Amino acid sequence: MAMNDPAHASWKRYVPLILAAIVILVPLAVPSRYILRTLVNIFFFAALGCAWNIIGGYAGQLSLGHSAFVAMGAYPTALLLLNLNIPPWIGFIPGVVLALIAAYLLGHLVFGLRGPYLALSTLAFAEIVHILLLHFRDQTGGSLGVTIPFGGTSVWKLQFASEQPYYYICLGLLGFCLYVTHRIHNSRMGYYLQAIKENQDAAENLGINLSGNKVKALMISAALTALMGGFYVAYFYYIDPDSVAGSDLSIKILLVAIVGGVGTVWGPVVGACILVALTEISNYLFGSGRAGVSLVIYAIILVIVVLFSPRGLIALLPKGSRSYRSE
Amino acid sequence: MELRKVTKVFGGLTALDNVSFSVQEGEILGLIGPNGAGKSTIVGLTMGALKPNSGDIVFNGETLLNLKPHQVVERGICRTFQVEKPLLNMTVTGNVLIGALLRTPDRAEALEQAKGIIERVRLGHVAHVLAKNLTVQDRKRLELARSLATCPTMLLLDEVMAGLTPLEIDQSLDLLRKLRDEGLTILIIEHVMRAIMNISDRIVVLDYGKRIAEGSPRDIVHDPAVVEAYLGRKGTRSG
Repeated sequence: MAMNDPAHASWKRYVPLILAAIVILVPLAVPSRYILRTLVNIFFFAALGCAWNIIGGYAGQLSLGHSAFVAMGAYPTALLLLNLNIPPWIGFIPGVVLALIAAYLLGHLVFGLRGPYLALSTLAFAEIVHILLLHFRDQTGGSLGVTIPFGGTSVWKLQFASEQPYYYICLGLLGFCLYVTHRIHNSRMGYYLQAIKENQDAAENLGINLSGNKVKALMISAALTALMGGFYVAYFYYIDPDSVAGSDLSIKILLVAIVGGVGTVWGPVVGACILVALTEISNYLFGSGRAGVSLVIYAIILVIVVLFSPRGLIALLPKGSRSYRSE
Repeated sequence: MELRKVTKVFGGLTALDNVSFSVQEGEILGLIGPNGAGKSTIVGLTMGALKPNSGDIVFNGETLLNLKPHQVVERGICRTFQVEKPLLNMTVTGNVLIGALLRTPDRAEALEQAKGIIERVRLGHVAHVLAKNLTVQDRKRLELARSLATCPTMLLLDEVMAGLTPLEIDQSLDLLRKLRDEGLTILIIEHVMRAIMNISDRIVVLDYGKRIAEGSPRDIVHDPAVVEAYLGRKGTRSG
């Protein structure tokens, strides 16, 4: 192998460390609030893409309804904060539990379905959550949503006037999602999910519990997604059914993973960098009046990726930095 | 393993009609019959992929009817598919590793086992090739390797020799005999008559879902009912 050149190898070993150092030091060196917000957005979508990737990428079970889990994390967090003054770092817990229960039930209900039927039923699931949020408007604020008042910087309530704390919180959450994915990637479950994605009949006849593994993957995925829903409340101070339970968000989440590279640990990070950057550029070029343009650009990117690099953009990076299995 | 009066109906078609037979521990039982006789249906029923309309399938004193395929595999029965179903985007090693992971969650240990099995079925030269790039023959071997990796006590082989050359068939037969001598029970479905007559300790013949004969290979070839099923009744064909 050409990579055995020692100088080359030692240089390569430091690349992740250098990248990590840059990511950690950026908020101290970059005063621009705008750039930090963009980076938080990247972390946020990378984490969501990462969570989606567990069920949608590794297990190949296409979910078009992941925004439902964002909403399940976001609404309890917001309502507990607003009504009972419970801080988001505690308030996210009921949302995660709710998402786990919902994923368990949904999984047992829909994982008998395959292909487009599964995708459609997840879409319907998110739509049901969306409608329920609109219907129970006395509790959820209906289409007006929930606004969290800013009461000055408070570590307890995770409210900060500056951008840096959010940056580190979101970076930490992304790190956690990557860690979970990494653990799954290298475990028996990771292999089993991949086998399920490749051929469910074969997997089942090699002793793999199909529904058990799929439901478990969906529950992990849903819990991480709900966790990010909790962060959404702390960061944006405002939620409504369209922003956290809409199909736009579901599509954005899966695009992050698909464009970046499904079934890889770092693919969603690559995808999020590209898609968030594109959103910013298109918003700058076309103004907020034509906010939909970014969706058109997503669609074009998706078509290009599927045509020219169907394993995602991460497949274009040098070999060592990808995270495919050797087998 | 024992089939007790198993009947399976697909729509209006009776695929299996009151079929009973048993497979003894440590033997190779050949299952033959013309196309559509119900051979593969028996494999599907045993694995729990299909449910019989009536009857029972018992393995080690336990009925298999309420089990899902993965539970049947856990109990030590594994199948191969007549139309191969490799995990296309994984390598040969990866495919076999998946099977080996059933008995150990430890990846390194499973990998060791997988490598041993790959050598045994003569897939060593393509160990790192993606399954989608394999020839049909190698896919057949992969089916066998993967099943062996789950450490079965009983193997259900559904036409693993179709398409192999005579030399390759002989190699496969040697391997199967060795496996039997190590204590593995084998139910083998095969259209390659030379192979099945050569290797089976006993043979069960199915025709139109009915068991029409059972016995040693020598008895079977002379059984009038079998000859009729394969060649037709004397005088029924014009010309």
